[in-house]
Amino acid sequence: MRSKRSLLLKVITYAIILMWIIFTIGPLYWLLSSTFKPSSEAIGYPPTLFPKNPTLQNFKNLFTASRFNFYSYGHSFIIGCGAMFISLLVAMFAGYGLSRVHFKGKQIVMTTILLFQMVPILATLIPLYQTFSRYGLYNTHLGLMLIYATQTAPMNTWLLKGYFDTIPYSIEEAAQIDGLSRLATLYRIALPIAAPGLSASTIFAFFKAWNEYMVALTMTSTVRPYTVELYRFIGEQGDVDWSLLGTAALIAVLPVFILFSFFQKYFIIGMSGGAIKS
Amino acid sequence: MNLNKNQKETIRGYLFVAPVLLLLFLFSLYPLFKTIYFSFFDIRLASMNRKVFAGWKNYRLLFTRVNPSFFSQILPATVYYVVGSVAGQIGFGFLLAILVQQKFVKGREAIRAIIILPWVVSGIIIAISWRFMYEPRLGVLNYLLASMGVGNPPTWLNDERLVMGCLVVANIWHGMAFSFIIQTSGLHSISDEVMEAALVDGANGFQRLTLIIIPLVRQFLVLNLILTSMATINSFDLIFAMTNGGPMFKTEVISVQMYHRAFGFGRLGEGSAIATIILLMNLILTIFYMRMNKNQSEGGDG
Repeated sequence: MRSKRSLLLKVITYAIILMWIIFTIGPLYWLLSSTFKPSSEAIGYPPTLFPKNPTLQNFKNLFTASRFNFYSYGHSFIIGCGAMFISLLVAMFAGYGLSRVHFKGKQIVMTTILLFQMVPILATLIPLYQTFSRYGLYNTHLGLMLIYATQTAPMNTWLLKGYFDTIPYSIEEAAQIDGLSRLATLYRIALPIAAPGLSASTIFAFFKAWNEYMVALTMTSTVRPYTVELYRFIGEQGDVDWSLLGTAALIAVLPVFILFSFFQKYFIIGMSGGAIKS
Repeated sequence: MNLNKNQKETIRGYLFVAPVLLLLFLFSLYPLFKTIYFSFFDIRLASMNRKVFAGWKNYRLLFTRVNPSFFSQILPATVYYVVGSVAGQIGFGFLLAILVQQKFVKGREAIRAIIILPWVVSGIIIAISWRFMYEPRLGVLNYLLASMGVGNPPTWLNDERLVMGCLVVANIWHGMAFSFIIQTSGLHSISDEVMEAALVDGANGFQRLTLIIIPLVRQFLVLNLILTSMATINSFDLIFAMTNGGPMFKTEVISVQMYHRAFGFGRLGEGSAIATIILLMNLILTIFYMRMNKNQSEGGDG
């Protein structure tokens, strides 16, 4: 009797998990699999679960025949790297200072930085647009880099401070007695040890920028990241070419999925905004 | 200059944090205050350098406009979207966290990775995926309905009654991972001894859930509630790309309205007023969040 009930419980548990997995994968699979179907099949009736006539034609079309600007991936990549670099640079100094230097008002500075994490982009977008238009940052890589770096810098500062905290200070003290300056200690000793923390921040800062599109939509006219390009693609055309869209989307999510499978833990720490410290 | 050691350390400390503070002040704090300042002016997108003082006019406009009306369209849409998304994300997140946690479940890491997957995908791609699903003629949903013999399938995103439900489902799909992660770590915080003691005492599954698990992870649930509510109020990307507030303002949530006023109609002052109101909502939730954080670190179980 007891085992019968627990068997039933197991079946229900697996059934719910399985249903959720199908629900999770379904919409993405549906879009991304259209990549390998000819346009007529992607929107054909009845829909096919697997491509009947697998083709790579859509990749070629995306490159050549469509109005989708392929360079948009390049813009996204440049903006992502720049945002990551700026964010890491400022967070590295701040994280080190907050971890190693004892100064008046440190607690207030730390709380202030944490509070910035709570500022929604929505509440700063209009003045940013106005300021950027005035000072020539509108429609530039640098403009978006700065905004994205601002969004990830507080979290990165906290992450890196945490990592520096775990490094025993005695190693650095020894180095300082040997005559290394504070900056040199940071760069020669603390940074290499904090590398795992750095990679967490790296991934997080890059993908925040890589995935974002509302700010990009507002702040660009020609230097469009792929997200904006995708938005225009569904917005402008009356009849949407789903298999081309699927192809463009696949190219964008593939690097994310690959990195996610390798760095799952870091993604989770970074994207949960410090709510999870595991 | 003769500085003692402490003063030198203080200067050094501020030099280290200066870059990040500069970045945050320039691109977050300054525009934040400017939004509040702008909300009292008439500013047009076309001539941004001309400001005319407007008093409370921008706020009045939000509440008195008829199309869309704040009280009968924007507010209900916002409440529906936020409550639906938050309830769904936390409910399913909690349920799945418990199920995946069960001892007999195999391949736990792989299951977790799949559940989290939608979270790392760009909002625009999620919007496209779901538009493809909901597409009335070509979409897979209506194909499934037709093959089940439904003669008159709905038009989903074009249907005034269904559209908000469609968006909530898409948003739950996208954001549930965050709740799942928080609740999983909440469950991790319960020690095995507690659960075993409950088993020995003969507590059944329901009792274990209501008398042990929920009280022990209560803090995680509240934290989840606050953070997810904020994220949902502030998000506009999914709606913007899926329905753009339509049909008939049925999905015109406050954040989308803010964007439309500011960048669609070019009324930056009005947009700023709406942003200020959203900011106020955030502020209230942030205060709760800070309280929680404080309790958590004092309680020592965070």
